[in-house]
Amino acid sequence: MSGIEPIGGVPLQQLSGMFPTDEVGPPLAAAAAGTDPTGGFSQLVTQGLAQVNEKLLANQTSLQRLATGDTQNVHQVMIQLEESRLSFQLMMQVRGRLLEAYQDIMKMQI
Amino acid sequence: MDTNSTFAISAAGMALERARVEVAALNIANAHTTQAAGQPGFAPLRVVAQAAPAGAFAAMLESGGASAAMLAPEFRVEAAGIAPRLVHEPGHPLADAHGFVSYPNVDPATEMVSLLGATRAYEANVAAMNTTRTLAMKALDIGGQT
Repeated sequence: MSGIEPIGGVPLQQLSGMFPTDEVGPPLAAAAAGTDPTGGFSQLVTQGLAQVNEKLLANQTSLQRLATGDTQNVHQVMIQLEESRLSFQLMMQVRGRLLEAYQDIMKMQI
Repeated sequence: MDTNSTFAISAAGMALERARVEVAALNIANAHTTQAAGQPGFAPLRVVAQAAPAGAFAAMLESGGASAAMLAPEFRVEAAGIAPRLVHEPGHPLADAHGFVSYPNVDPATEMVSLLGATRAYEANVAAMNTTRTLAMKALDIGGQT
């Protein structure tokens, strides 16, 4: 009965061998934020907002073209609408998380 | 992989099916048109779709969604090469010297079947796109208070 190892603490090296790769990985902007500590994250947020806005504006253009009968296929317009809805939802989620964290900090008792 | 490239793949499929529907509609619409003897009349058309080169999809997946444009099936519209149907109508103003009028040899059954097939394939593309969208929306639910 000595073939089976007892259940117990797994050595750390063995544990890291079981999960060799970090699936999530460090955030992409970490390196950039490290070099530029003034506004890495806010820059990211601003960029994301600009991209969402760009998509919405492109949607407006293609909807105008659809309304004037200038467009070739409807599915392109619908897919663009879906893309912008997705990016808008992502933006809303990021905003929700940010506000939540902000309010948590503001409610903190000092 | 970015969801937008998955959308682009579905959009390419939808464009192809749309072209098939358009070509079938054109064939049906021209089924009973004719042309003066000696002049080329309407020839039935068909859509020839060519798949993207093998391995392009795997390359795109591995490279992290570089471009979905190279995956799009290339299609072109070409004449089906079906000989015209000759109908004996001596009184027809466009009949030839022997009284024959040439009509394009459009097979209504073939066109209807390709219409149906294109419709179903289009629906399948829409379903694939909706699934991609559902995945993306579900991913946004991670950590939500529900």
